[in-house]
Amino acid sequence: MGTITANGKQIEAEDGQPLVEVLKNNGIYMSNLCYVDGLKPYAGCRTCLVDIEGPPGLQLACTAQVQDGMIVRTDTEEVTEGRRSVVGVILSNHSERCLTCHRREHCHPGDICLRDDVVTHRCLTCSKNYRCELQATCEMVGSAGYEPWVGEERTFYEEPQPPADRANPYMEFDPQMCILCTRCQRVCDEKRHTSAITLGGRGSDLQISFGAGGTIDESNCDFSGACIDVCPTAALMEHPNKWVSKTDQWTTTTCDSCSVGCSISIGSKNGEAAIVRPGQGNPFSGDQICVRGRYHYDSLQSQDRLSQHFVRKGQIHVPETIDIAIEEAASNLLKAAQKGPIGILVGGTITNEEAWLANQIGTQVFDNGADSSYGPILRAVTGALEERIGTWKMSTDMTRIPKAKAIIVVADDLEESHNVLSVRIKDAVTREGAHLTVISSLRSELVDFSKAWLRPGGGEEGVVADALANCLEGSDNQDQSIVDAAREIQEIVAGEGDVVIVVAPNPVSPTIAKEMTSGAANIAVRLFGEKASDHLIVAPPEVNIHGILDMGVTQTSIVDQIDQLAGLVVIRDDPSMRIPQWSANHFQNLEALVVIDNVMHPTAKLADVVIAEGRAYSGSGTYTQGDFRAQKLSPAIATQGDTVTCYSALSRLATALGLVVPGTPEDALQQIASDHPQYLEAANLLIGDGIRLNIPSSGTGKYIPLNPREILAAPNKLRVVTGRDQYTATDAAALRHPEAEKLHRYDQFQISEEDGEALDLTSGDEIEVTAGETTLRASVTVTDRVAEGCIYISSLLQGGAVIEFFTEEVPEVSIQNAAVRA
Amino acid sequence: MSTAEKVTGLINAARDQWEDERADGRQVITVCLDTSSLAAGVQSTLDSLRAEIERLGHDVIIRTSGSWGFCWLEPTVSVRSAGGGLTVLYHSVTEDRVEEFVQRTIVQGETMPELALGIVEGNATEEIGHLSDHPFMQGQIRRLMERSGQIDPENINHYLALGGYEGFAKALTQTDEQIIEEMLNSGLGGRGGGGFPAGRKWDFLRTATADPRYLVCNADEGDPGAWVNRILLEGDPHLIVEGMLIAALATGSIEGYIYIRHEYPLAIQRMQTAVDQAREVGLLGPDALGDGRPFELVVFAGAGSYVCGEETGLMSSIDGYRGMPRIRPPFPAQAGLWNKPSNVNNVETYANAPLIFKNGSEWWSSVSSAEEKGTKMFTLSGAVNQACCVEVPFGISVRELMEHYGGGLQNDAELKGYQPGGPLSGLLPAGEIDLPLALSPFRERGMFLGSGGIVFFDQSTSVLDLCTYFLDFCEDESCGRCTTCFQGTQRALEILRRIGQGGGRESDYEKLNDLIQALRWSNCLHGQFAPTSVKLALNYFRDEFEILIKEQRDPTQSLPGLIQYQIKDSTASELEVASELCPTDAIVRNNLGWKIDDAACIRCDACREVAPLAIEVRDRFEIPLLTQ
Ligand SMILES: Cc1cc2nc3c(=O)[nH]c(=O)nc-3n(C[C@H](O)[C@H](O)[C@H](O)COP(=O)(O)O)c2cc1C
Ligand code: SF4
Ligand code: SF4
Ligand code: SF4
Ligand code: FES
Repeated sequence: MGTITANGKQIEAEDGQPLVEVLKNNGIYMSNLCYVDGLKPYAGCRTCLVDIEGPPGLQLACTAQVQDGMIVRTDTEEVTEGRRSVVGVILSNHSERCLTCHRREHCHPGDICLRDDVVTHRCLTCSKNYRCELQATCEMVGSAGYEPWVGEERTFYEEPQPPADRANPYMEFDPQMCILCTRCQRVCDEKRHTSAITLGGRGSDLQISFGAGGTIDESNCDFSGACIDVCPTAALMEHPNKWVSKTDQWTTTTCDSCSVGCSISIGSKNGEAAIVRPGQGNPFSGDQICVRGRYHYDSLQSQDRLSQHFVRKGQIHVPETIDIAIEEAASNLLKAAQKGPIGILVGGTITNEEAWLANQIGTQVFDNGADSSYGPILRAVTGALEERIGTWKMSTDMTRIPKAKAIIVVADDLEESHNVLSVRIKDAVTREGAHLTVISSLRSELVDFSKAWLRPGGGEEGVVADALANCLEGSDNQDQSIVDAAREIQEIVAGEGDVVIVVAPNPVSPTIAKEMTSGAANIAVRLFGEKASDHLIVAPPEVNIHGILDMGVTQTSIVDQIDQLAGLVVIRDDPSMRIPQWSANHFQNLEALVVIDNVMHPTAKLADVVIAEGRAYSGSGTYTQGDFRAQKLSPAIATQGDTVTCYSALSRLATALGLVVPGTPEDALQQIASDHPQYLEAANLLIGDGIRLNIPSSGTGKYIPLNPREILAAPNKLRVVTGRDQYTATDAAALRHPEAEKLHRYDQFQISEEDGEALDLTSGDEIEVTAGETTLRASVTVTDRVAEGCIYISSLLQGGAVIEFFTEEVPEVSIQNAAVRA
Repeated sequence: MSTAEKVTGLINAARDQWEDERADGRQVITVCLDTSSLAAGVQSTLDSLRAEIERLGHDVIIRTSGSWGFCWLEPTVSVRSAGGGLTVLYHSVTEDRVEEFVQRTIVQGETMPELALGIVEGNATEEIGHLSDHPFMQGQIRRLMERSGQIDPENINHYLALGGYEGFAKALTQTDEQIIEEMLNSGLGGRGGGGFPAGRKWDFLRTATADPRYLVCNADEGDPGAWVNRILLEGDPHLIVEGMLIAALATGSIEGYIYIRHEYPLAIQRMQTAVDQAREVGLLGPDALGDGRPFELVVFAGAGSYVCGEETGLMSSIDGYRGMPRIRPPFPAQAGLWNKPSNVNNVETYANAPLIFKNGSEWWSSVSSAEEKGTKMFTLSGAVNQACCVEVPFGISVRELMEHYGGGLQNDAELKGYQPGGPLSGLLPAGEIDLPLALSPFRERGMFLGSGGIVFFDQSTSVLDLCTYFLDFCEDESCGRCTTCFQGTQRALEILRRIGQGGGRESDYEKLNDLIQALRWSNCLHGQFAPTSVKLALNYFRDEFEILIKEQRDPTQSLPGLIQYQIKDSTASELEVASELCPTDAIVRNNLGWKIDDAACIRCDACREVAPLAIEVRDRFEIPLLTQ
């Protein structure tokens, strides 16, 4: 620790820290238009000039490093002049001049201003107005009104700048606004490892471009929007909300789109979510989120969302008040309970408090417990873990990943399903040189970062993981790449390098999910024996799967009781789409069907009572994500119409059913904490950074071979591979875009290049895919993402239709070329 | 066998071979084949020479060499008589002279005094003096260029036979510290322009804490008007290999990169051949430095941008990134190529090391009267009569260069000024012609002596035109990191262009000064020195600027935006021809006579060349009030 003096003020700082960060963090204004906190300085904008005692002239605060005793001034005449002249040069190639006008706020487009200019340019008509870093910089360096280049003919204006790229639903790039600070390029490279952006040309031909220079959607950009967060101008903007210049309030909460549980910050306007940025304080997600986190906030358009409660009268649903709906639901359920068991199903995005409450109702009122449509998968996964490791709760902290020396991933496509987790793995590879082994049949970008890609046939990830586990024990394998990977991993373990094994079990097939988990657990056991739980991370498909498991959900299998059930309560879940064994008949036979949700999904349409809950992000509570970090969910938006929060709906129902329950999620969490002491600290959690639950090491590690399963490839058939895609139908904020089609990648089947050739199919052809009774029809994409002999069908295609094939363990389909598209 | 012994063995074998070659008895024609002579048509000369010899059925050896420095007299060709008694160097052996040339020098075995530059080997005759007595050679001290022109640059034995690798053999017997000390004693400063003591730089790398270490030879030579490095690369490439071997001994480097601008394909090819040959005989490779110490050289074709010549930009380029100058610290000796300790020197810097070790630092530094020691190569171009390459000791005056070696200005024109140091430098007025060739006089004037290119300008040159050219160059070549550099040069260029169109304003002085200030805050010398030409011009050629801005008049009458072509004598018959020549049909005749349509005229000067008496150039803007 040292001390520096900045503008006469003493500041404590670590030697070697970037001076610019230290000054900023201590309330000294710094113009720094190209610096990105945490990245190596680029030193391109030249605006961070400061006067450091000693060397002659001015220095850059972004390249200067703190030294004990350093004396810095940012308020000298020379600094002010230097910054002003530099900012002046930057503005000379930036759209026109309102930027520096103090009367900006009084003008309107089309006015003739005091300087005799037509007000058509710059800030007044710019989507970044009021939140632009360049604008703020001008004001702060005293350049408002100072624009030495106005009136000069500038080559920049003589040649029209390239047109803005607005060809995709997520983000826009307007080169005219770009000041070539390269923040976007460096963030895309160094923080996302995507490298979709390049700086090209020299002199007056300089430009930022995506991919090979085409539109953004033609590049390998994955629309995380990390570049937007750092762009100091309006060059890069989110498409759906680019004109939202002012928000009423920012709320830090947790993304509900996967079990990484990134912190997000929601900017809301009139109670509606308007814009999402990465939230502060999450030690794992840091300043990153993915396309889902950024654009999922508005997952359904308001007209598609439930704003009223309904009670069925004969064939029709009649709107009712919440009290009547609850009363009706309770009396129906109690009546049905006379005839047979009542089941409760919950989805993977409800909070711990809601899950706990649901489980209370299930156990105490109906003596039956609560389950989920994911139940069969979750029981398969937890079973596989408990057998081998003694518990399903792994003690491994995900924040170890970026520093790990070896990482083994068993997943369908981690990049798509758990994006930020995948980014952190790339951090480890690029920054620490970590050894990455990827076991997945699908090719993803993560594969490009791997040392070993052990590519199984579709659905055989677990089998290959188990083979690796055996090679780690010294067994041989026909596949030399498995043997090599095992040896390299062993060397890292021998060198005491940290090793983390990540498994993201398949979200559709319990058999495959079980095998993947078993294989990954076997690897952990072979490597670390009793300490296996300290090295394994299980990333379930939905954000709060670990939370609902922890609250006791799935301990009773409701799914298997379908033939006996007399009543069913479904909370943010949709069994008609997720459980292939449940047919319409089963629903019809129920005496009482109560649904609590925010959309009228297929199950809700069959329900006697539908209670409309507020959207995600309107309630409060906690999530327990992948590595058992309890994350806070804070109300960021208002409930709509008559709706109530999910917790409120549940607590009303519980009360109507005669149960005494806590009135608020906060009280519920106190009760949870008294049953589950690990949640004690979480109960006192104030903001979004969350806290890891205290999960002890299990102390058990047992190698158990996989159940043998014969996979015979039938001739002329393709094996179905499925998984979760990153771009989901529910990124609706973006889907208002006319070009949204382009990114509906999940709406197509994907087959390998080899099979494309064999079947004479090219991308865009329409095909029919059939197994047994089920036929799906869609167009096909031929891609090296898919292994030969497989067909990839997204779990999002046609609302999850692929599930119908999964009455088989690993289904195979035959293909008919329906019609070739024009 | 120790490595020193191995080298001595190679040298002895090469000498024997060289003697055998000389005792061969056949006539030898040596054609200087370098980029300058290629531009003068040497390829045709060579082809016709071969054809002619074959036609005559003569048994003559035809070889190629690098340059003698007589760039304005290419193609130069030397002929060695049968038996070797006499070797004469001839100039201007163009294709059309080949037949006679062969007839006289080969068939008849006589000399051709009218084309002779001098005798290289043998006794002076009445008609032809010794080459060293040629006025152009007098005063030159040819150490680096000793062999260039005489040897086949693609034959390692020629180099070995004529003193090559002797310096390396000596250095092999010294410790790294001794080598550094010898370098420091010599006082050799970097020849790339900075003049930083090479010994100190090498010592930084020697004492670096990380491994492996790399050497880089900067052969990007981007300054327009400089081709000294090219002369060495094309004329005596092994000198650079040897210099880098010595540097490798001193610094413990395992690999070196020779980064040659891609506009030098011949240099790249010859350097590659030299490296391959050195590898073949074990001078490069796993045991190049002895005791199992490896050294390898890689010839790397440049990325074609000026700032790739900046040492950190160069390293980025080799590393496979965009050739952008880096931020310092870290310095190359801490983190250079592949982020490992590295040292960058200019071609000429490395090339001096073999001389220092072969002959000792005292001998080496004895020749200069200036603070800088040793000799320096210069290339002269522009308005001089003789575009050439010379090697002279530091300290002689620029006037001597211009008058003695440059042969004065063409058409006896009056000197306006000269420009050393490339585009980041500027024009010094004729009054400064007596400055000694050393670093400090130029530094004191806010510019550089640079790496060896000096361009002379006569009074017909517009200083504004020059500044515009340099700023255009700097703008085009800006790597794009610094806002100040890539946009500041744009702004300055726009102002200069506007002045050149007659739109100069009083406020331009302040604007240009602001830009000079802002550009100071750029990352590398490229941006920092981009406005040097303007800065110097505003100082030394203020009057010209005043006229340009106040009177919208160009005293040199060369700026297209400030002149007009007019008919002086409408009756002159040449106008017919001129009108036909005009590429834009701007010269038209109506019933009033000939007229030039100013809007169409592109100021190509074609018309005036054919009709000098009928067409005149006038100022475009006449402002009688001010001029009267
Ligand atoms: C824009 C720019 C271009 C340069 N170009 C060259 C060049 O072409 N050749 C060269 O030797 N040095 C060039 N330099 C200087 C190099 O950065 C470096 O100082 C030199 O190679 C060091 O070698 P020396 O110590 O042997 O002189 C250039 C510098 C700048 C700023
Ligand atoms: S797009 Fe934005 S972040 Fe990227 S270089 Fe331009 S101004 Fe900077
Ligand atoms: S990685 Fe997961 S938690 Fe993070 S933003 Fe994406 S979907 Fe949300
Ligand atoms: S001064 Fe110019 S050339 Fe040098 S780093 Fe900056 S932009 Fe690049
Ligand atoms: S922040 Fe330092 S130069 Fe841009």
